[in-house]
Amino acid sequence: MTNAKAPQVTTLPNGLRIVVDERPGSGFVNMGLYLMYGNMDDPQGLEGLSCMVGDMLMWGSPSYSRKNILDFCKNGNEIFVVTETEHTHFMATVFPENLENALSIFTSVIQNPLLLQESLAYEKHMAMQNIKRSRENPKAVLAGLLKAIAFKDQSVGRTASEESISRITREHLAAQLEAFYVPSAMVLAISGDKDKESAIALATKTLGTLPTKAAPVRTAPIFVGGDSRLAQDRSQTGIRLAFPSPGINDSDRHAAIMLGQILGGSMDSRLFLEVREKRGLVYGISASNLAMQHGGLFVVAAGTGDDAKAESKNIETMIPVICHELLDTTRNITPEELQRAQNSIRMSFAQANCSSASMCAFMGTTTLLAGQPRERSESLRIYQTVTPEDINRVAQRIFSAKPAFAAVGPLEGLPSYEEILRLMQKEPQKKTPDSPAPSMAPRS
Amino acid sequence: MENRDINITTLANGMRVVTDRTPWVETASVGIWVGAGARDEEKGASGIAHFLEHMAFKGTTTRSARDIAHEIEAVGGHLNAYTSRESTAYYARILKEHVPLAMDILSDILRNSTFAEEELAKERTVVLQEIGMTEDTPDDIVFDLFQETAYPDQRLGRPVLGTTESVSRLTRDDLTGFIRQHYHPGRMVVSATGNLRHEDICALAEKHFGDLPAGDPVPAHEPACYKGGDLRQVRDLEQVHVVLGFRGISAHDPDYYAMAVFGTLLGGGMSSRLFQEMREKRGLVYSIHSFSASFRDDGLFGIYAGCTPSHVPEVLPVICAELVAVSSQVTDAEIASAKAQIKAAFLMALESTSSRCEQLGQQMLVFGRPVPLTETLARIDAVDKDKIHALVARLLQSTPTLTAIGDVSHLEAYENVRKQLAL
Repeated sequence: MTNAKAPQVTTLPNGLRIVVDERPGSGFVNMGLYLMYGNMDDPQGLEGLSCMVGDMLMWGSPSYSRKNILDFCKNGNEIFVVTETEHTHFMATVFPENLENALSIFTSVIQNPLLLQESLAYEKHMAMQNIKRSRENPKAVLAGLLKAIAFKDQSVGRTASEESISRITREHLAAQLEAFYVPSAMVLAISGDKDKESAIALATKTLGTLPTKAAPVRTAPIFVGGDSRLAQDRSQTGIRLAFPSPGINDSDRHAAIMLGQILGGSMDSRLFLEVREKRGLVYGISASNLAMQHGGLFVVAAGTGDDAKAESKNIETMIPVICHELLDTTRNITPEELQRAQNSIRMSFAQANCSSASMCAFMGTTTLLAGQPRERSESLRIYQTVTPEDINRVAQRIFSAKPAFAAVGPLEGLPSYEEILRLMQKEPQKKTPDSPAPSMAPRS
Repeated sequence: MENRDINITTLANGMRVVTDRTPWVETASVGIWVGAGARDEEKGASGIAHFLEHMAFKGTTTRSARDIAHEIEAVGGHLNAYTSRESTAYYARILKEHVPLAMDILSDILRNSTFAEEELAKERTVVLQEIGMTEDTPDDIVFDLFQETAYPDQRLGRPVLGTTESVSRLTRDDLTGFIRQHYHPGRMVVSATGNLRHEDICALAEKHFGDLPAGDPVPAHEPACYKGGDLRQVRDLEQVHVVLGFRGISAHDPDYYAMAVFGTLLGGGMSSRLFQEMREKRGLVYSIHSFSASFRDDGLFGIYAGCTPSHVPEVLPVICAELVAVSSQVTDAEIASAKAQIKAAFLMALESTSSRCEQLGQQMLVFGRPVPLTETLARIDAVDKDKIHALVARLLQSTPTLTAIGDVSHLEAYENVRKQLAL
């Protein structure tokens, strides 16, 4: 059912790139139109604009009304748009015979969107409801605090607010469409029950008609770091500790991903073992490297709360343990940990290969952000060549930077930012099988 | 379309083994589905099934907690578990060559866990953290309140995680007693899918579980007794979270497939009635969807809505009006659309060995057999307007269950809701 061949890029005369993964017999097709336009492209004061553009396109064109689009979805097909930090993607999961219709809808709404005032009023109202909803969710609040402090005073660090949404006009939408919705900044990824030749022919007939334009050039964000805390009456204190890290085109990205795996990617990871298994301080804890186009973010995420009768604060205990484990990876990575991370990545690739949705996302994002589709077998080969010393070096590179720290919830007992900086500067002792756990006491 | 190669074997002790071979993949999913969950807990021991699921990973007579995680992850595998009201599942996802290891570990954690006191104390704090996390999530809380209001003072109404008080009381003896009472081979299913052979899985199941004694008869289940009612909690939240529901249907009900079609057309996606009316047309809610839960002898059907306090007065009247309308005015086109959406979802689920594995395990527990996809689709196809209308009338005959949290001061009165739903 899966295709072993590496995806090849076909570029249409207008600059649109197409990658196809054939899965004959699956009975459906996953398609994603990936566009280099996301939250980070929102002008200051108009945060949420990129998301609004995507949502407004789903209100149709003179050829495809909102009702036409919804009717299309009534027949077992699905269409939706997602706006992320770096890109917007228009997704469709359709029966094979409906692929052309889905492509026609996307082409039509991009070329000739209605952008009606009443639709804009509706979408602004919905966006404001979503903002209220996000404020209830501690993970969303933490994400907002973290990016604001990590990328201070930059577009990538800002979050939409009721005020920024209220400022958006039809003219803003039209200007963004004109500047960013250009075929040379788009990748069409198709995975499923459709052969490559037919898929390319359909794309040529539809998206191939979009006019050629130069893609805008982005300024690379700069990681700043710092501290941001919000006291709230919640059961748990959620924290995020983040560092600048290798991006999608950085040769250290494989080692950074493996570092995340070793530190907090599984039940046998260091943070899970030390913070949850050994001390029972959390339900969930993770570490991962988010590789973006112009750099990455290595993020540790955790949340903990206290029994009302507890004498000491879990958060006070947890932060030094996390810092100790991060620092330790700059010197100690065992061959077993390396092997485990490699096998885990091999397994995740094997699982992802079974999924047309996963393949579609992989082809679309790598082609868009890295410039070409990545072949999973080649990536796997590179992961196999990473050594413990590579991971030590990349850990040193990542953890020597000044971090961004965000916390939400009860803040009592939370170490100061200066204390966290101090903890991250401590030289770890060489780890031995019998070495004791790091001290529970806060260090002064 | 079937694209499944399913085989079933029953071991001498009653344990069932079901496999679905997908030779085109490099991976496999294997798990043990146990027909015991939160509903089997005694009063005062709420959360024991879930706590046991956690403790199963904390060490056996031959493996420490670290060994369990380490062995499976050393080969790139992933081990996990979940607890629901009527079942508990322990499963692994691995590369095809590591199926024997996965079966060895799964059987070890189910049969030889030691539940050491030290581990028990630590894991209790982890579960209490999990409960704390849920308490920070309003749309989780409102569903727990809904279940509790639908089935007050009953096993089926208690939260799967238990409460801080009940979990704090659980002992090692409670865990071992629960296993002795409920983890019997006749209530357990080995489900495996992926690049594997049925006879190999049977041999592994025989090796690891063949000598598991049948156990004493399981005590009779407390029958579900749906009550319904009204429960509102004032909280300082940005949104108001509302769930309105009714007595639904059991997994064995003839209307089971009509419920799937009805749920989809009423609140199953962007093209559903509720989404169109409440979000697209009126902009009253950000989130709205319907859901159904079918237990072995009863069920629930409900609608969740999340909205700002200013829209609260309108939310319930509009939902009620839609429910009354749908009891007599469903169109053939809506039914056809819902059927197509369900069919597409089934096709997509076939891509994943994990989905196949879970579906098989659950179907064996609930129906005693894997339900062929062709049969499912034929039953879905047989649903028509009359069946939907009859189902809605049946749902609306029950006492509504209404739960809400947030600024509920302007939420429609319960008695008004009942009046608006009168057919």
